[in-house]
Amino acid sequence: MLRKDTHFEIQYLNEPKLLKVITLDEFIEQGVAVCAGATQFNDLLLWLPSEDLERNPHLVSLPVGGFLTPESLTSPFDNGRLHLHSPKNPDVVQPGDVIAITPGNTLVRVLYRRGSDSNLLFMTDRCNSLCLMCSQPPKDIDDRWHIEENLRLIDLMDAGEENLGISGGEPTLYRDGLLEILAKCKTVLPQKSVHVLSNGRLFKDPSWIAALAALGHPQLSWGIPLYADNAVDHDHVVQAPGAFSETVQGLYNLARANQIIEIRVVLSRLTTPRLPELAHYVFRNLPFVRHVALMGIESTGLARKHYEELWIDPLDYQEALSQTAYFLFNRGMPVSIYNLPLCLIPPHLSRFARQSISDWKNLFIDTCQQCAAVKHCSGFFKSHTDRWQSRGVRQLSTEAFSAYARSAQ
Amino acid sequence: MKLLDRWKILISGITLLPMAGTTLAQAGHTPLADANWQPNDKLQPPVFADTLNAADAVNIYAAHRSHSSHRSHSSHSSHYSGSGGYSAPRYYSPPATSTRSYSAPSTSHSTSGSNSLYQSSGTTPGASPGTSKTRATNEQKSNLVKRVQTALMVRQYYQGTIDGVMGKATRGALMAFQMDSALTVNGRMDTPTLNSLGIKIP
Repeated sequence: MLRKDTHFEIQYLNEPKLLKVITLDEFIEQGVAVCAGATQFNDLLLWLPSEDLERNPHLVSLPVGGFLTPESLTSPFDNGRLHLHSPKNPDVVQPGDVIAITPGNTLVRVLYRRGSDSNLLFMTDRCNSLCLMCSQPPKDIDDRWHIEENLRLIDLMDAGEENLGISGGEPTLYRDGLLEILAKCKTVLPQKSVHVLSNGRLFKDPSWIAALAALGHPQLSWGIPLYADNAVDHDHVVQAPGAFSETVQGLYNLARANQIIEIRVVLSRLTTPRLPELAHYVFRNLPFVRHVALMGIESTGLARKHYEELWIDPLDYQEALSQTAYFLFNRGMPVSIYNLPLCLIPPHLSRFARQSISDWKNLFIDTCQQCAAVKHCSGFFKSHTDRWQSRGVRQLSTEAFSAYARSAQ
Repeated sequence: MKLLDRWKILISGITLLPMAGTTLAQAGHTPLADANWQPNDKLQPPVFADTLNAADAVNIYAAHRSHSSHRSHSSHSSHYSGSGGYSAPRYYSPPATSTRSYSAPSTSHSTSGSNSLYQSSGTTPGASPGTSKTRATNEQKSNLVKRVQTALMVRQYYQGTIDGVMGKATRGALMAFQMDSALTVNGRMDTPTLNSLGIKIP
């Protein structure tokens, strides 16, 4: 786990900035071409270890946006140029990353991390649902500035083949902004596949069909949650009357626009009792779905408030999970199990288990240290606590793990 | 070269080896090669086709020898305001509703304001007028010169400011580098020189 923010000493910053961290060699070899989109030297933050600076003191005259020294400095240079140094955690910001900084604040946020598969365009804190297990409780604020930030961020990313997520909040609330961002992803980052997390409710509006068809992004997919095979249960989980109907209509509209759709189910005391029925519903009514993700709960945000209502030991829904996964698998629908450590699922489900937790919030607990499966296991969310720990968490021996490995074909 | 000659070279090399260090240390400025040494084309280093920039890469900067004719534009980059592209300032207005609602918020936004959070200062290269495959803008030229100056600085050929101007000091440093690298000494940013400096043509 590597956090996405840390503190630096920051000198001479007078406006909010997004900057691309770049090494001297990259600057010489590629210049602004290191970024995927339109950029200038001003957008670059030169990675300047103190030994490089000692060798070439004139480098501080380089016409870039600023300098980053990844070590602690007692005497930072004093020439009026933007300078970041003395990081609290020197591993957080690395060359290739895109960072955001604001005046009067020592916090440096990493908005893009080179080589990570968990990069995210965060769209908004607003949401039109209020799911009981929401890991990121919505805020009713105007945060359209995220649109601007993301459009800029896209320009500063690396161009290569990677996965890119778009999430919130509910990204579709800023419809025009989202469509603009997707269009820009298509032109500036054509090699990156884009996965958007949305509750799908606003897709009930059929005008999205034409908009998405016109967009024609070749590598775009939508992760849409469906928590039950019936409106009462689903609407209760998302705390929004009418949501089930809207989401289902939205799913059909996405299908009409030939979109790639993934159904996401968060496993809780509320959703697991009718999980096999939900699988049946998806197979019968949503045969165009490309992937079903059955996801362990993240014990943060609103989920902690609703512990009593939500918590169920994964060992106690193993049977329902097994039926669901194989029902879909046997009918040719791809299934994955997310966020559940291998010790909590039987070996015959290991073929569905994925290392799904974003790298910046993924950790392994003490029990995992000697486990034979640790390199293949999803591990835990950083928010993990004893209260949310299954009685089944244990370390797997080499023999036990080989049973998982054999069935994981 | 006959096989025997090669053996001679090899043997003499070996016999020299134990005292090679002292020989070189005392050599000072005396030439290391014999006066009658001739390059032998059979002993040339291998040539790899896979360079940073292909031999036939379009280098619109190669003829850009002196910057004097562009001096009048040197302040160009800092005052030019973005036109078009994605850097156009935009303003997303606050949502119409302030209370929680299950309906979609108004997504209307105007483009009149200019309080964009991250102002992209200066030009957008892709949107600059005059950009084409065959002619570089002054800003593009200046940016390449800055990278050349940086590369020369890292190699200790150049100690001046990195200003993007191909002036006397930069050209002198470039020629010194070309001479030391056995390149054609012309003071130009031609493709072989850029390859040796590790610079991709933008």
